[in-house]
Amino acid sequence: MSASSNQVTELLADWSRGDVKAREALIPLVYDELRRLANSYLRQERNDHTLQPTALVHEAYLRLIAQRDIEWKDKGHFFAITAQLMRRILVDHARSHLAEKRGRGVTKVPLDDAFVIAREVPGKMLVLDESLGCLARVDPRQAQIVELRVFAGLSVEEAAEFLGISLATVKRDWRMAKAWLSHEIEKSRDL
Amino acid sequence: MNPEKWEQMKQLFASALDLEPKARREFLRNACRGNDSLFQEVEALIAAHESDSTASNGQATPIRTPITRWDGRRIGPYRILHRIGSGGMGDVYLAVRADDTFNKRVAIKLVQAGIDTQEILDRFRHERRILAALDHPNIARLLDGGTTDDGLPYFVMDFVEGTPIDEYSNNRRLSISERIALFRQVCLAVHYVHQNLVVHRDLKPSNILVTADGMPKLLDFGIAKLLKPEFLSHPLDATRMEFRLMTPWYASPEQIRGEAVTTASDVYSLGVILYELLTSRRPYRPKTDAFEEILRAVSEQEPERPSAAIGRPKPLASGSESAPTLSSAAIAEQRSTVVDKLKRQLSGDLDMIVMKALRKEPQRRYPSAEQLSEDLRRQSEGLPVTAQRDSTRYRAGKFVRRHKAGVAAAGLVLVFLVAGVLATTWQARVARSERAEAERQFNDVRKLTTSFLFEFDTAIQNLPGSTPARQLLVERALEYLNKLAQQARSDPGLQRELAEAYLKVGDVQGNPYEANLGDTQGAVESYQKALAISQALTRAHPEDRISSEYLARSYQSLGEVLPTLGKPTEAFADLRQATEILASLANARPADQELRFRLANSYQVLGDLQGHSGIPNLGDQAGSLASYRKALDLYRSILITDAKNVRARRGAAIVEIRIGDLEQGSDLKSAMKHYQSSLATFEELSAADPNHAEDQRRLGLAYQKVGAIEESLGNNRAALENYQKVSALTEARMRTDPNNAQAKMSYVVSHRYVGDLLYKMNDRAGAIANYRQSLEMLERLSASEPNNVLTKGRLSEMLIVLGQALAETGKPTEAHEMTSRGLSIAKELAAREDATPEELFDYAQGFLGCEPAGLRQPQTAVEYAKRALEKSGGSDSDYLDLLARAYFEAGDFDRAVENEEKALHSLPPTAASQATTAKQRSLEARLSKFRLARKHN
Repeated sequence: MSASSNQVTELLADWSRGDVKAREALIPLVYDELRRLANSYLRQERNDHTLQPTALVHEAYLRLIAQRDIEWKDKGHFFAITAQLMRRILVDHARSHLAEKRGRGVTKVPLDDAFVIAREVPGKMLVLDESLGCLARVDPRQAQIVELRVFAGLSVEEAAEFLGISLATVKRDWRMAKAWLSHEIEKSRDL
Repeated sequence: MNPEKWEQMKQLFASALDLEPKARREFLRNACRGNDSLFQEVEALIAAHESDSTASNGQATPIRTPITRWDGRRIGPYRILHRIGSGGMGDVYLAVRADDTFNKRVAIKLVQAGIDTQEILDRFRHERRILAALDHPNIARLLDGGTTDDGLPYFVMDFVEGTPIDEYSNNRRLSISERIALFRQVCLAVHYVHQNLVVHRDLKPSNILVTADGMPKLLDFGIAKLLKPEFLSHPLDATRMEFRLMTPWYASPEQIRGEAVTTASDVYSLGVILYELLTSRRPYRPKTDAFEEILRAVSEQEPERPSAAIGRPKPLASGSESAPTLSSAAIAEQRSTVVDKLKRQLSGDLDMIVMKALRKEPQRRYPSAEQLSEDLRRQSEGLPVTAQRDSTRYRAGKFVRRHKAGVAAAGLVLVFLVAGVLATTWQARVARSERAEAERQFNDVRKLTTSFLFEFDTAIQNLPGSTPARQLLVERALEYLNKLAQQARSDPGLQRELAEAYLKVGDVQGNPYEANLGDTQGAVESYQKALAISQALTRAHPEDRISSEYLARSYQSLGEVLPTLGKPTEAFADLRQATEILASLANARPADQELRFRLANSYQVLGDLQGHSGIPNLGDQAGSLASYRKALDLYRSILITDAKNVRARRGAAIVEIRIGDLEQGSDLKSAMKHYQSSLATFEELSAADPNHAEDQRRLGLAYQKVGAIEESLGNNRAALENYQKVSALTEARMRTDPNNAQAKMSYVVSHRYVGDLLYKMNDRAGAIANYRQSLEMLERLSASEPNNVLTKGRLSEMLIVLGQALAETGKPTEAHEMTSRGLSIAKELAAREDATPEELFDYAQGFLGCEPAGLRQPQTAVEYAKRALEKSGGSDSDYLDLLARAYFEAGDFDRAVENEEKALHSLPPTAASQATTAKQRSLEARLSKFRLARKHN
């Protein structure tokens, strides 16, 4: 754990100095950790455990960066990357969750199964992901703000600092993106 | 959507939001003249924004319109005069009873749109009697409630003309003792209401008005409960929603966590109000004034002592509502005193009293508002107060919490440093031969360390996100215990604690049954250390039962974690050891029930590893059966002396289902016996505790298993009865819990089961009736959740099955309608790029075999089968067989033969079990049919 902790911190520093390769090297490190954490939550035998993405990201951060002081700039980069990965993990999970429950054949669905399925979340997650994809095409900055807020738990202040734009802009963008996404998700419910 | 249009929308949206809500539509209509689609899209955004109007970061912009559309209107028997305030849930208006000659003035709270009116009203009717009965000079009564003509709920309360308590105190420059006297009246009013079993939930200065003659009046009792967030019609952003009704500063930590709200929560809010009355400062210092930060501060930070808060140099981040930002001197002046004197007044007892009211743990606060008031009285009369200085343990707990926030791991380290110093002192004293004193010190240290380990870990282990904190906690404790252990190798008690510590670390690192860090290898290492210590202990003290228990626990932990590392054989050996040790312990102490439970549990884990189909297992079904039987015998032996023991009954019933599953292939009769016995148990357990959802679920499972055996024995009647029980059970579950999506889905499936069986029994009408019930629910489910691919797939399948049954009973028109709808849904689902092979298999089947036969499309089935085959890697015999059948139906016999041959080749080579040979036989039969067709063409 300590080796990778050093490595991650150095890579973050390199990346925030502009080394794009460092970012590529970082992704697998962070992704593995994040997925392991996510899986261990999602696999919980007890169903009283709900997955809280931001809590997970926080844990991943503690695990990977340990307690060392780290510049905010590097930290921001960490959260930016983690937000993307977290989104990917959650979407993958939602997909497989929807898919794996399907039995094979037109015959019967085992009854045991019926007690487990029909969780609401996966569907919603997929709509969110899809809508976020659309948003990114017309307004990449808004989409990134949503990603940072929703999947990495950054506050508007933190997001503004990381993106290097004014707080007012982030607030305005977030307000609109939120309204738009709520509307999209609502719409998908009304279909 | 293109970027230009988006840009346009963005600007319109921003400009519209700068306006008053009521002016927004008109502005938009003008700005979008001639462009209806633009208008509609921006309008939708604004609507979404407004219905989610906490806005970002809780900096809600309260809707302020000087003149409202309500002014002068009538609501029920009341006439509105003008608005007097607004809050999270809506506005408050001054009104008079229109038919009242006395012109009695009332306050009417109008709940804004976007809230489930019916729920609120139902609840209101229910609570109204209790609320109306509250009669206390310091409480504004709830008088009436109803809905306006356009359907908004409203509540009518006594109108109180007054000033919020904080403002009142500051305006009048009340001294500390005057403030306390005023506040005590509030406490007693709150206590009165608590005695009537009503909790306020939203106490804050603006809900406590003081009239001109100095009488405090509490508003809104019972309202917060009526307006519980569950009733909000917006399902989005649920966590934020919890607090949009509340001012976060006054919400208790348990409210923030969404836990049960009790009178202790009101005591907490009173504590915050008292804090602010005394200091004009907030108790916490969040990093920013963002909503989340405040919530985090309330749940994680320790409040600063009031006396210290006065001297705080920089005021708090300014909140949106009247954030106190005064200088210390100004604060003192408002209390008719000077800074130093104020600090002296607050420090000591008042600090302690406030801190006790503000404890994070409800049970550590004042047990009632009255007792808070009483302590304040004692303080003012110079008597000793009940609020004590924080105990060592309490303070240590704060370190843990701080660490949880990730801000001060150092706090924890500090405690261990203190402990370390104590230990060094010990060594120094030993040198000076002050043995007795040294030992006392040593034991203190040890107690501190182990209490960290055991009490705090237990306390925090269920907190979300606490895992890293737990690891650090346990590791540090371990480090320290290691040092102690070296100093006292001969002390078996300490060695045992060390074993416990390693087992705990292992659990945190990687026990699959707990929230863990996913470090399985690390877990194994820790368990092995625990094992080594326990082994040494049992060697030195072979008769010591507790050491043996640690030994067994170490083995069992290893046995639980090793299979996930792909080492089932080692796991097996360890579990065997665990069961042997526990068995001999249990033998020696036949009266020890707990030991027998643990032994039974060990056998069950062992049985799972040997042959439970749900997990990676050793494939030793006979061994597995033997282990399960031992577990069952143990549970039964407990039941002999303690027939009503629920834990043993449940344990036995669970094991019997597993035994039944294993015996099903070989001994149908015995399997049936076990299923039936399990069924009987779950029936009784569920009858005794109908709220035990897991038992209910298991009961359904048992019925289904019994039904399946009856069906395979050809006892269709009996099978039917059991399946119908499952239906009845799910219907009951749906009645008690109408939102339970799982129950709805089991309703769907159980009717399908019943339908299929009736169909088999040639009761077509009965089958169709059940299919229709299943279909109806599926339609509802898929309407409420149009994006749920799974539900849609089942809907499509059900339509096709029903279509077939209808076609066969001579209802071609309806059959045609059902089946073609089913097929078109299947087509839509199959068009998704991420459709899985299993799904495509289902859809292809539909197009191959549906009724009426005129709707079949073998070509489409070929296409789906190809995709499924490709996605599954190209050599799965099921998909090859499917493709062959599709080609056959499409008339391409060459390809049909070719693919069926491949399917046969792809079957697993060792076709030892019956199922595979049966499959092989059916593939061979098909192949010869296809070959024959090819020959004749």
